[in-house]
Amino acid sequence: MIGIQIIAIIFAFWMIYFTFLHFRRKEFDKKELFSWQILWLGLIIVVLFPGSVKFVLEATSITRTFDLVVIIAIVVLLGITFRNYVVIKRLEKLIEEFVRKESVKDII
Amino acid sequence: MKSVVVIPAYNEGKVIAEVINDIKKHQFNDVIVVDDGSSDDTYEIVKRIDGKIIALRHRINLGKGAALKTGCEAAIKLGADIIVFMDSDGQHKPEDISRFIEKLEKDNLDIVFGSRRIGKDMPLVMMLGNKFLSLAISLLFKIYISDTQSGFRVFRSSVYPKIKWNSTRYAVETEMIVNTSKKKLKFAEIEIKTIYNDNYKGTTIFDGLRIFYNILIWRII
Repeated sequence: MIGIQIIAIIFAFWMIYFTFLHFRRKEFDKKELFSWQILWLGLIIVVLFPGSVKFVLEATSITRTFDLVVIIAIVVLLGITFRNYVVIKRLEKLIEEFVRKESVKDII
Repeated sequence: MKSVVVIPAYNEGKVIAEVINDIKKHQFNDVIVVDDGSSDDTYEIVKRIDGKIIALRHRINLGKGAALKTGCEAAIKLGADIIVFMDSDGQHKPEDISRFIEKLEKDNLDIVFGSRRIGKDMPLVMMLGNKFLSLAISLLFKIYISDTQSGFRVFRSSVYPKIKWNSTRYAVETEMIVNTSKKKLKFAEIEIKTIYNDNYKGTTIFDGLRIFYNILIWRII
């Protein structure tokens, strides 16, 4: 096993623990726990058995498993970034409206 | 015609009382101060001032644009016909307010922008940035205002829905100009006296770049 694989596995286990921690604090529901754990476990499987995704590599004309992982990671990150942007915008708007309503409530 | 002065304030506890008293001296008694989540005693100081001074408080800092919006909504609730925007740091002179209102009524305008004189008093970076934004707006929206960043302006409350802005921070002044052009409102600009305080905390170079980016976006959409 090469260094990068060891780092990836340690990272994945670390994230499994954190995901579970958020579930235990009731910040995640069962659906969220399941979705994130699948992602981290999937990462461990691909890192330990790079050949397991050979059919995907052949179908997509990607040479190395590492490239596939990087591509998927970028796509996932872009998706999460976009979603975060939308959620933050929505929250900003809600906070602004709430603060304004509260500040003018005493005006006749 | 009822005029209401709207002042957004953020950590201006040291000067806000003087600014309000100066406005009252010039017979403008309807004043709304929106404390935008100050960490000092701005709100408490305004609350203690006698007269028809209304102190509103944002629990958290939302930005100048959001504070002005709150002020406008309060002014309209109070039955304002004319809304006056002034900064809270004392850089604007209340004696100019009557000139604005006179111009607005005499020429039957929708909005009057106050413009600071470009001269040795204005910091160089601010002067260059301001000129650049004026030219950009002029090219893209066919409206020329020599001082796009001045917060001293007066408009009829009836046009508020037309110039209403989405910017919560310093792009608000520019967005008002852009909306004035887009909605084809009648406008004018008059020269105002300005004192640049040492502790000036207005727009920075980064704000300027952000405003320029916004101008491009407003042109596209």
